[in-house]
Amino acid sequence: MMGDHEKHPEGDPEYLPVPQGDAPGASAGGPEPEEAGTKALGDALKTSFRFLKICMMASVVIYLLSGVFWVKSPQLKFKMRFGEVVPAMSILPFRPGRKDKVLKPETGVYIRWPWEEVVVLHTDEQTLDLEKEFWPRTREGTAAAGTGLNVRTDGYLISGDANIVHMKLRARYRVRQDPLSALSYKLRVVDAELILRRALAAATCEVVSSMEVMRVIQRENLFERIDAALRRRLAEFESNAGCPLGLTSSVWKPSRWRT
Amino acid sequence: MREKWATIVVVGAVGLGLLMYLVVYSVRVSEIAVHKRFGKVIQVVRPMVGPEQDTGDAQASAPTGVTVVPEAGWFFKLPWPFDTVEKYDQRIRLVDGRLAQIQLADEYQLIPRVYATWQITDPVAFEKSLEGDVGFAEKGLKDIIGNQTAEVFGSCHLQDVVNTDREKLQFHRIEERIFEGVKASLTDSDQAYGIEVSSLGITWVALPQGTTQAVFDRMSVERARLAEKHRAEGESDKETQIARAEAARSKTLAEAEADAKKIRAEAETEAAQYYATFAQAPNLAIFLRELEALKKITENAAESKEPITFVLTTEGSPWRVLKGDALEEGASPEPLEDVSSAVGVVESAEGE
Repeated sequence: MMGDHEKHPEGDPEYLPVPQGDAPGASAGGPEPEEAGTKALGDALKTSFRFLKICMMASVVIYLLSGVFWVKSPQLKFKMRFGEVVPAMSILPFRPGRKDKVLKPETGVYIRWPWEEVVVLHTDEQTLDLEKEFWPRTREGTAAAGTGLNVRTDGYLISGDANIVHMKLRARYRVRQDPLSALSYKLRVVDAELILRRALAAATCEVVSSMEVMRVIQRENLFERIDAALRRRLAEFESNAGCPLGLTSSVWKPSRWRT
Repeated sequence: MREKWATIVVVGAVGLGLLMYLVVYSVRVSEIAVHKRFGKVIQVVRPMVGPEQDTGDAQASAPTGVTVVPEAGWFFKLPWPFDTVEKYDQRIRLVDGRLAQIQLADEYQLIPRVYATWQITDPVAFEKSLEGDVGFAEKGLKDIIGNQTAEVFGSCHLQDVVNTDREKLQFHRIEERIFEGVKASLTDSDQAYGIEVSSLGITWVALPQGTTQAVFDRMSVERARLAEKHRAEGESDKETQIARAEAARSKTLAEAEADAKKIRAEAETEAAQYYATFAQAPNLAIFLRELEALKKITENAAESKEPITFVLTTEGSPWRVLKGDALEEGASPEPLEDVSSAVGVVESAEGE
């Protein structure tokens, strides 16, 4: 056969070149090329798998460590498992009346999505300004302009003696720290600040509509009465809704007023 | 073998996860869910927080034949297409009513702005009547609030809305009437909406633009009248105060004058007595006065704790020895005189 191959050049149609690896005696004197390639491929795969394994283990460790959380002093945090509030370090679900509903400033752990999540509440004091509700759009939007006030753009209040008064008001509020209120604030109300804003505006409107304009200007018990009206409204909300708004507030003096 | 077990565990975990995804659903505290089997509601999950959880409110508000679970968490279901679960946000949200000009019973025009807070309480009815669409629900709620507001304000007078007499002011009562009306509209209608209003308030009562200008004009006139009144009162008060001050001044002056006369008369009487005594022994009187003066000086010095500096003449004994020519003159020092003698010398020297 060998002799035939040598005799017949590549132009011969019956000529079939024999692969070098298949040639008898090719591996003589050293490792066979097939074994060496297989070994190299195996080594490469082992290295890749080892690297992949390390990466996966690192990912798991990072995933688990990222579930550690701290509750700082002005914060409240809830741990939720499948949407239900559970204590920080317990596998038991939350039930009403349990003291560990709200997590105290401490360290806790949770298993991240999709099992558990941590809800954060900031309990530091914040301010709520009624800037535009009872204030004209421009300073010209008053009696001086002679055009009256546009209901779409200019805010004002009508006093008990049917006069017009402009007012800006500021309230301070913070999230109540009792468990039920904190839970309610975060999980039972879409926007507690917006509701508080409307309640404050309604309380102001109600109080001013019962006072003479001069008494409003002189601020005779104005803030105390607005504060009382606001508290009454929040209590009514809590009674009707079956859950608190979760905020405690107090009214400040108006920064500016005008009649 | 070890690799095989690892593969089995991984595949098993993935398979279990997929199975759980198909047969388990979770409901957050803030959500409300309807669990249906072949389109029929079999369970409602309505988690509650707080006291309401123990009162059984959830079951009471549920449609008949439907189990209500008042807790959040995870629940089993059959995979699609057997079971389906619809979830809605059951948190309380806020809606503002539309601004509309309303004529009161006394023909005044007002533009009240009303807000309300509401939430989904019956997801089945919500889905059925409002197609589970929050936007659609808010639109309907705005219509209901607008209608109730117009109805209630239409039966009120301006004095009910703004009044300095708190007994007659009906502001809060008006809010309550609108609130009751809205609640009744949501529950008493043939088709339940599945939503509940939890509070309502009037955030603003506005006037038509032309009316505000009229109010401004009236206020301007009232202020001018008030200013004039205060000015007149001030003038009147000023006159009164001036007259009162004048009277007080005259009275005080007269009293002071009378007191001065009385004191002067008493002093003259007393002085006359002293003069009579002085006239009997004038030198002794002067000597006593000077002793008294010296006593006062030393007392004052003692009180103020300051030293007294006496400036004495060297012409008298014994200070004449301090003079340079005392020995030359051969004058022997005179015996020390007592104080009264020294005073007498000084006095005589002064007299010379």
